[in-house]
Amino acid sequence: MAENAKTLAEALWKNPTTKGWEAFSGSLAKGGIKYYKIFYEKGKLANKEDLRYSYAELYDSKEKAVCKVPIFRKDGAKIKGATIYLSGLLNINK
Amino acid sequence: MIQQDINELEERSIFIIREAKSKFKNVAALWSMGKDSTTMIALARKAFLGKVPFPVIHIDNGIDFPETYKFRAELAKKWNLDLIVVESEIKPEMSGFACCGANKTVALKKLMEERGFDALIVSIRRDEHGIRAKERYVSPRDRNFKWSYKDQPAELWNDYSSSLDSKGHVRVHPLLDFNEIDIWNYIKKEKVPINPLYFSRNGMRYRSLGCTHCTTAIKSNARNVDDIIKELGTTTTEERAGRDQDKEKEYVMQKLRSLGYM
Amino acid sequence: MKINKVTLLGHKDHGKSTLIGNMLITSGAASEQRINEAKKTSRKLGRRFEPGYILDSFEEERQGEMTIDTTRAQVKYRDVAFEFIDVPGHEELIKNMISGASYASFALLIVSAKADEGIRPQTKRHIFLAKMLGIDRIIVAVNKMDTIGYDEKEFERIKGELGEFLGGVGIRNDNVYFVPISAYNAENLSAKSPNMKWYKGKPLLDVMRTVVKSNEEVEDPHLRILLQGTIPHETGSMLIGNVLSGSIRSGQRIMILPEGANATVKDLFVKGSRTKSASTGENVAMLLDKPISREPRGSVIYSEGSRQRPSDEIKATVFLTKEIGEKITVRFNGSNLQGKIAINSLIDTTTGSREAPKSGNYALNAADVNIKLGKKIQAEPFTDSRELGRFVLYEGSKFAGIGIIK
Repeated sequence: MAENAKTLAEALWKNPTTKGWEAFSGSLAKGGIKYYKIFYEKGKLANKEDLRYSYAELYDSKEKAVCKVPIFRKDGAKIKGATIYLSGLLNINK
Repeated sequence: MIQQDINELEERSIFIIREAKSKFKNVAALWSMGKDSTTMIALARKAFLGKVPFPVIHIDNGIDFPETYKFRAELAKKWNLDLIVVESEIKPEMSGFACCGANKTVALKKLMEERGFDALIVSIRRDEHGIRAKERYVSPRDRNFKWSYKDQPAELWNDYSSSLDSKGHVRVHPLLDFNEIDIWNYIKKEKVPINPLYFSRNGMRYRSLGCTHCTTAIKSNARNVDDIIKELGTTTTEERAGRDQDKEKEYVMQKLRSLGYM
Repeated sequence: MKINKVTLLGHKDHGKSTLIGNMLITSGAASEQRINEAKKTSRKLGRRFEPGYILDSFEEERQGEMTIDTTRAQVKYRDVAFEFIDVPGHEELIKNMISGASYASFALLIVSAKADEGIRPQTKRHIFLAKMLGIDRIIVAVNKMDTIGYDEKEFERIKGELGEFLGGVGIRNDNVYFVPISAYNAENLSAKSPNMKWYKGKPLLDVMRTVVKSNEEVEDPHLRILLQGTIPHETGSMLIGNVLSGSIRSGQRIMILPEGANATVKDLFVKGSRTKSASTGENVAMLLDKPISREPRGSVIYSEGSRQRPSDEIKATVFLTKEIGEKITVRFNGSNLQGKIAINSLIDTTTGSREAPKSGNYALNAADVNIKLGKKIQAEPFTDSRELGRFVLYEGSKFAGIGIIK
């Protein structure tokens, strides 16, 4: 299942549409993913374009890293935050 | 941190929430899903016998914590809340906070105009930040959301100001007298549902919640409400130490506030 | 624990913020972050460490060395807790002073003993106002004793002068306490100062503790519920209000004034739950056996048979913050009422003496007045019910003063 999550995550990076996110979101629980951590690689967020360089790392119940996903979605031409699609996961705090 | 009489605080808050509803035509409340605004909604349920009689607003920048979104969905359903979610922008603004600050204010301003709200319940507390110690229970804002803290209305006894310029609104602050520890005592007493991010995992917890970008966890082993109350009894750090925005400029909060940022 | 609210009175520069700052530090209430910030600000401004910066949160305050508005600081001392409501010493900010003082149970007056500082007319005005707002116990901290060589004679002189004034405005001698201190050096705050061995009393915080410990308020058993309005409920429209005094139970016969209607309480709620009875301080929701005829906001519930009567005329003592004409707005328990004011006599707030009214500007003066209102209200003398015995004056949308009903 973890493999499946990886594949979905890759697809999401290529095309983070609302539809793609919904599909991914639905597969989270089945994929055995339990924790997340968010990284803002560029440090300070200057504008929403910077969301492209930020990501969430997802972990299984043993706190083993499974995949990295974006934290934005494309709404037409617009870029928006997408952490709502990770609802159900817990902050790993590590 | 001094623990105050919870019953007294509760009665005062209920009085102020009822006063807002009786006095103003179109009331709404801000709900960030944090401990303070969730406590405020719990108090409103008491004031109005179970049903919150005004909409609750979440200004959403899209990058809140996943737990926060889950908590929002669950509690809105459980308490039958009239939830309004408004998207805010992430873009550069004067204070340097692309995620929150003025961008949230812009979104709120637009909503207030569209819906014609004349009173907004905001769950700030006096002990949160030096600048908030200056607040009144009812605080008028002009149409540009400006807070003129040098010329605040007199607020005597239970006579809360209501003189408004046209298109302005008032901020109502029913939790003003609560200290951080009082909020947790109230959560304990009333078993108020709470965002799980406040509890320790792997030796870290969030003491003050903003979005994923501007909040960091603090070192803590407090795994439940009792632990948190114990921890706050001995702490010497400030509540908002985990908020990036406070580390910025010394007086930035004041500037954000006078622009209407809560 | 119970927080005892203390209003701070005193002129600018007499050391209020310094005193509170040092109390916060000694009691451990100020966080390291706050203390460090205050140290940093002191350095930045090129001054010696100023404990008062812990309180002053606005840039303007630090740079202008003043306190703009009421702010809040809580201090725990032994088994009691205090909340200081700092009030500005500036003339033009008097309405903020009133706001702060209106919540307090006693006053802490800070007077500088330093040459040329002493008691100012404005300080006396603040005391007059505090007394008018119902504060009848005052602790006087005579500050900056270090600057006058801890001179006992000067302390006694200030004590004599103030004592006389306090008596003049009606504050009883045994309700006034004098403590010589140095706020900056934290002398006589929580420990006796070796520099003032001649002072036989307790340090300031212990005096404050004694004052709150000796305050046994007698509860008024008469029922008064101030109504806020109505809320919808499945069983009908419910009245909501706050129990000002006494208690109420389900099934009780009551009277609503100014309507003059009698009714029975059919159902009673406190904090969202059905209850048999409610007492002072609680917010209630109740269902009566019959609907009431007019908007309930501002009406008062008494027990049936109460001899209270509504009136459209009030006799009061007012303090004016601005010049006013004859037409005024009286804000009384949530209602705005139009009225006409007539001044009977003027009160000199710096001596407490009364004189015949003269023409001119009454701003910052007190007066005995009659006010004729456009409709009847349910009020009581301030000495019977604080909540029903006070009002706020406006002229148009401008705050104009406060009033205490006689």
